[in-house]
Amino acid sequence: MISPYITSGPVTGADFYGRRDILNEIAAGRCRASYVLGTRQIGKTSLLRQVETQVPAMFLDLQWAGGRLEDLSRQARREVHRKRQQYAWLPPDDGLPDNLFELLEAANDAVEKARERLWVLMDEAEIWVRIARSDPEVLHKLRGTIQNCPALCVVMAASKSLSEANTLTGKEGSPFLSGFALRYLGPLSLPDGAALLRQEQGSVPVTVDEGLLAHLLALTGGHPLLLQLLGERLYEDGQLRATTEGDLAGILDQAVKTGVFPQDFAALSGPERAILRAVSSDQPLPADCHPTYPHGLVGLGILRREGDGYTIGHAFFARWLQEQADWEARSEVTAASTLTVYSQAEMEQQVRLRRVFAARFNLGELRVLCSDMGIDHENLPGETKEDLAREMIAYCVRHRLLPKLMETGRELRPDIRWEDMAG
Amino acid sequence: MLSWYPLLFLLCLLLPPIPAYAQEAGPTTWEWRTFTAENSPLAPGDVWEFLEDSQGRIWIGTASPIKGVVAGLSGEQALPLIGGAGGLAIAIILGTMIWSRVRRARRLAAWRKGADPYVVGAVIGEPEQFYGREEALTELLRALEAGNHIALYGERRIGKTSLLYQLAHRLRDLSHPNLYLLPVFVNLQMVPEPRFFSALAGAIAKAARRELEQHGQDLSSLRMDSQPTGYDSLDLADDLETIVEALQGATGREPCIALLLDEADKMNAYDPHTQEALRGLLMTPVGGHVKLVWSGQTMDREWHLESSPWYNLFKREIRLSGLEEKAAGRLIREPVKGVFTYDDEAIQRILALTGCKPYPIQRLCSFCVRRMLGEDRFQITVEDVETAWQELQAEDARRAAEGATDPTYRAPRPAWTVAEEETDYDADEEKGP
Repeated sequence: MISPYITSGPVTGADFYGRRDILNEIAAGRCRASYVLGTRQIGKTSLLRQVETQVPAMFLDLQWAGGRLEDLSRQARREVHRKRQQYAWLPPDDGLPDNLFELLEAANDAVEKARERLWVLMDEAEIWVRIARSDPEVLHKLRGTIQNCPALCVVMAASKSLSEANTLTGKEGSPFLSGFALRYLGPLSLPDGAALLRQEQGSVPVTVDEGLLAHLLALTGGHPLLLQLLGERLYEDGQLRATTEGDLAGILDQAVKTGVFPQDFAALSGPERAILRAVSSDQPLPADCHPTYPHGLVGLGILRREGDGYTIGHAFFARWLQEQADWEARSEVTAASTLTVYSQAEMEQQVRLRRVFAARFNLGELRVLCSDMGIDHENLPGETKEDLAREMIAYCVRHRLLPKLMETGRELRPDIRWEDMAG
Repeated sequence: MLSWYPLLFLLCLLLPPIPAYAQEAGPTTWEWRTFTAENSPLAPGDVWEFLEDSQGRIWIGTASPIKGVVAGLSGEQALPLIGGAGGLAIAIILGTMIWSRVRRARRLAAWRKGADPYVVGAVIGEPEQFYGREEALTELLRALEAGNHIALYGERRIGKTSLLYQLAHRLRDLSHPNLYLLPVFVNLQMVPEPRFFSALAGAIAKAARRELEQHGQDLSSLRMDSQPTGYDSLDLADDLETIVEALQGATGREPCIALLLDEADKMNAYDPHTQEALRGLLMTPVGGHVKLVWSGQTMDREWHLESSPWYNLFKREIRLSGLEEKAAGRLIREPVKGVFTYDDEAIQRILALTGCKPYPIQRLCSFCVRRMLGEDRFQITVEDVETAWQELQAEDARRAAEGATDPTYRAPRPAWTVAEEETDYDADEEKGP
């Protein structure tokens, strides 16, 4: 029997598991510009392709364009041409400008005229940094275009390298990513990871022993590629067999050869590496560690909360760090750029949490929650539940209690997808 | 070569019982006896096996109870002939023998004129001339059916191209209910980078047109037909959409183009932007209909761009080394079956000298056969192998001295001498034969 697990290329439709909240959020179109930040092979392209199936969208792959603006323009023209079969309100080929930014504005005009929305999905968006290095104006032009095109929702999926765009633009005007809604694309939640392993959305579900399921989810931390690789390797006649040491070594080898771990590591800034080094050798976090770094690393799935501390996101990366990491290698992303995006994401997380607590808890429940957390709510300013939610979250941020707050929230409201709050 | 033994035995079973003779034979014991050129008039290389009874009589047939017995050939014994049925059988046997000898004589004549029973250096195209690699073929087929790209590594002349040919045969024969697998073989050796995408398009279009022709359809308006220069991955994407749609309509199944890229090492020298463009194409919905089998010696995994490395498409890989011993033995014996035979010791020596690698095996065996033809012998011994090995090495040395830039083949050091140079090699555990 052929394995149903997919390890090459993006997955969509029934092969796409989880990510409902981020999908819904993007499809709702509330944000004019979003930056979906994720490590290598975490499923960024699949997410964009899945979005493409749900809303009117043009898909631009900056890698396919080889980082050349003129090829990206051709790709955009081709996309408009193809999608017009589906969305007749898109502009005709004849009037389309050759210049990418002008083309996007022309598309915006047509979309506005039709009172529609068009999602512009940019994959491998970190390549904008490469383009900007040879043409420093390009990021300003892109940012200006996004601001001038209210009918477009731009979603950029990229690794952390895109954060360097802030450094390239910050000296003359606003940082490029300022105003982007920043969402981490971390590992799958455990129920979604389990559904993937069991192929619950497939035509023929796979039988997986409960103990083995828990073991595989613990090993991978819900990383979708690792789940697919393990599934493919362990699949035998409609079920998954138990793992062997050879399987685990084989998966690690596959991940390393495809550049997954080395590239993720290369994108880690110095302070992040110091944190990982401490965690992987069971040492406390460095004393000068800025609390935003662990927050970002958890969002990306590189670290995992475990009790009051942290552990490496999954067993394979932990092993790679211990056996193969070159801790002294040059980092491709600076600490400053990293901190900027992580801080932005952290603030957005706080806003999301505040909204959830204000919407799903009444004032009395919030006061009880504060007491459970050891917070004296009478010392917190504000009278309304919105005020209390905001102050409670601010207190938790100052005292590094956010993970505990989310844990307590999960116990009280298990129906809320708290794991999606992490990003 | 089809063996006539099973037919003969079938004939024996169909013959009517001959009670008179069975009674005459009486209760007796039966044993298999082997006849060769040494103990019978059989020609060198022929090996026959017959049943011999306790009275020294030789039979072709089944052991007790004797349903039908047909007399065979006489060795040292006189063979009883049983009625008309026996005569018929003997006629068949003799006819088969004559046919076999004529065939053998013709093959010998051809070989003496320079034809080689072994395929030395050329790609093996015919499935019946291809030995072993079942595991690799199964894995390749499974990977493609599951929709995965796969990398195939191996040193030069290990049989990668031949394996791709066999994979193409298997893919053509594959009957999948939902998937239509179209093998497309592309040798990148002579493809300059600027023509990379048009070369892929040309090969894919050619294979698709051949298939569509069988359905009475044609492929028109492909960009590759009208755009000889400047053809890039975007053009290929457009052409792929046309091709995939046509194949889908014709076959009623989901098309999957298995792009078998031979000599793909060439891509290591490509501009990273070309590699990015290929990855980008394969990440598109239409690109999802294309699955790569990348075949070469090494894939360059240095990547200095900030984007995803193009090679992360390949989560699976196969490394080809020597053949498994059983398949290697067949590769040695079967091309000369019915004419020459190898001593077991000779076979073991060949396997040891060549590390079970197909090309060295074929080359060494070819030398052995040439030696046999010169001496008019038919049994290849370990001494013959040793002498052939010396001749082969001398030829390589001569070619090297002549300054051949790309010698046909450099004889490898025997497998055990290589092993002895390994730091962790335990000489007591493994000795060369």
